[in-house]
Amino acid sequence: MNDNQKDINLLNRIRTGDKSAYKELINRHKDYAFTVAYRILNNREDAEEVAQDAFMQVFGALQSFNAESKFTTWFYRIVFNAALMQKRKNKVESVDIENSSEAFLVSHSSDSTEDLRKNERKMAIQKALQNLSADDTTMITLFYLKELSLEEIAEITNISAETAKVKIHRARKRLAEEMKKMLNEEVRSLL
Amino acid sequence: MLTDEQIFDILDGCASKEILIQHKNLLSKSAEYKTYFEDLEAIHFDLIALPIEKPSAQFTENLLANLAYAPVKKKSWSSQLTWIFFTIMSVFFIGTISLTLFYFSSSTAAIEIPRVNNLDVINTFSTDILVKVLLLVNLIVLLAIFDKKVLKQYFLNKKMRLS
Repeated sequence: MNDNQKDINLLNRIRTGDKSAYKELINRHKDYAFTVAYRILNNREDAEEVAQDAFMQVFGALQSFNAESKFTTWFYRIVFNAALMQKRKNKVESVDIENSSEAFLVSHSSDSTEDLRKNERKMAIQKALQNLSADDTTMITLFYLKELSLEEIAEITNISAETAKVKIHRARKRLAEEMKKMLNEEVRSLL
Repeated sequence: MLTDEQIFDILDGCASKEILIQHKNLLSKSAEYKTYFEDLEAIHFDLIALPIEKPSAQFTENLLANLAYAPVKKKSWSSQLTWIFFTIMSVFFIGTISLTLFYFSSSTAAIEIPRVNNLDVINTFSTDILVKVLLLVNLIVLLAIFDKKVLKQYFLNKKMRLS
């Protein structure tokens, strides 16, 4: 049984009133839903709220789900739209310093040089992602997060596959430029 | 020099053979290209290695609790408009036919075609006010169905396209 069949099976169980299926479905997708929302919003609390809302929307609209389509595409579309709506609501963007991934990485970093170097790169990438537009971040997140196909990304973001491909290329290019800029600033501050 | 799109195609594993040959040549001949490619390659692998974020430990429990307290959604009357319309039409149709049949069968008088016009019940049904009211009700129901099935969908799609 593939992943989608498992999801459909869980949805059918939910429809028949099996309460344990809710928990299974949530546990299967909560991390990815949260990650997509978090990358767009840069705030853990907001991302958690958006992910929860997305699940509530899914459970409220089970009847409208077409069993022949892929559950994750439908679900990520709901998460993506909910996160974008939240992003628009948050006119003043603020980074939750205590809960930010930066703080998380620093607090969890080990002492080995190799780990420190890896963590530094992760931090840099995440910081660069935060400086990109929501559109660019979403494209990169969807593309790298779960190896979604271009067609699936296109369906989630309501654009054509060709446009999705161009957008992903451009987003990666902008990320590379952002990384370069950050690196230059770091070098300048050291001098 | 290859374009960024072509380099990303190489990294994604979907570049054509010609581009791959060009890429290999450039890697061995151009130091500038090699540095640029390695930068993009490093970012590509960093992105692949990006960690999946974890929500709070109480995420599932909170969500299940919210689900338990979520009010049961009753079907709004507007979602049943189609049925209301067909039910009214069916009741009206069946009622008219059965009343007509009843009065025709109980009548002992010789059946004459113009006699239909003399039936009181038929006349009552044919009064201007009743016809107007029924027409108005059906018109409202039809407009409501049109709004729900056509206009709402149209504006929802438009909103999604704009967003």
